[in-house]
Amino acid sequence: MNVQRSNLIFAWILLLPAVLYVAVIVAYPLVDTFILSFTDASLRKVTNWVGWANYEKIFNATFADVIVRTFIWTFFSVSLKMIIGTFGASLLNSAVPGRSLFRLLTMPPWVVPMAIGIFMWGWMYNGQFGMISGMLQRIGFVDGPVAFLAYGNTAFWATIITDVWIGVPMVTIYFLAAIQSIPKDLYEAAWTDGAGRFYRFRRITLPLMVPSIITMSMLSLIATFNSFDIIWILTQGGPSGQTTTMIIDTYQTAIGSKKYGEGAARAVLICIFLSAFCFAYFRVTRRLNPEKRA
Amino acid sequence: MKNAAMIDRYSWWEILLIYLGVLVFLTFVLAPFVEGFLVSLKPLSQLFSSPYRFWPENGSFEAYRTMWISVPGLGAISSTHSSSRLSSP
Repeated sequence: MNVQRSNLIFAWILLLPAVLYVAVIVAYPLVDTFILSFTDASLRKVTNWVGWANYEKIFNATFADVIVRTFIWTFFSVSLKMIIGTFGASLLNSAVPGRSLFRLLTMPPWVVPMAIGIFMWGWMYNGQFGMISGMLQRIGFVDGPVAFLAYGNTAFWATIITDVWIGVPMVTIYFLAAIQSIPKDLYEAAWTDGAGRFYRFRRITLPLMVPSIITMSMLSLIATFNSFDIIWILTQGGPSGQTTTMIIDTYQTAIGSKKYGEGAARAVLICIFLSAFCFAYFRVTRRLNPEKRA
Repeated sequence: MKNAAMIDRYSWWEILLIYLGVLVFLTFVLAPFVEGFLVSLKPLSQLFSSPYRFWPENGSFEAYRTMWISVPGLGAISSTHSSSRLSSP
């Protein structure tokens, strides 16, 4: 046995634990779900191979609506996070007394366990004793109590706002770091030339933040697209399916109705969408930092 | 003459705008916590009362005492403490 060959074997032995880990934790469930999506697996003992029937069933049913709704939900959630994050980061960056306190106070939604934050929002959305409905009544914006989670339209926006609330601290801190990494001489040069504060923000801060905004929105897109807990705790996909996103529908089909085959088909679709997002993310980040290309 | 330290100097209305913006931003971020804290002070009868009240009436920290006594893990600690304190002369 020559040296090269024994080196190769040694390398494979070193790789083995990691390969095994990925195979058992990632590859096996993925492949199994894929196979499952072509069967009519359920709690019954007999499982038949049904080919593409599950996928045909998905597209004949209301699932097209669900896909559209998921994209609308994700779009508004991610863009609101980016807008509020930019707004918050530029405020927290301004040199006023107390800004370190403000920065600290931004963090709680990120620190608190997600479910607790969502329950607090659920309490606030309540029509009878919730804060938002009560405040809106007091300032005369609405006449009677509004149960936000009871109507399709308001429930849809309520879940978006809760998702934005959970995502905003991370986005804000990330953008704050991006703003702070912009060289000060740029601002000083522009300032010496007489550029105002807003003009400097628009022509220096924003353009130099764009890479961070794109990176963050891609990451946020992936996390938001399959965000399950917010909608499930607040509305469980209700009222009459108005807040059912793809992941909620998958859960309801696979775990709720025990139709494992059809659920797996939905999961495969989600997996395809998410892989596309991940691919886009890697392409974009690689284009944004070409010098880091390995 | 301009000098570099003046770039971070704000006029009074800029400071006002910044603080207003921070107020709006932090209201959004902290509202659930404020609501959670105020609800924790409300007596049980006010929790589900229908015209909404922001401030608790006859608010107290009673709920925290109840939690300390009734939650199993916490209660064990507090009861051993109080009993040892009672038994010592």
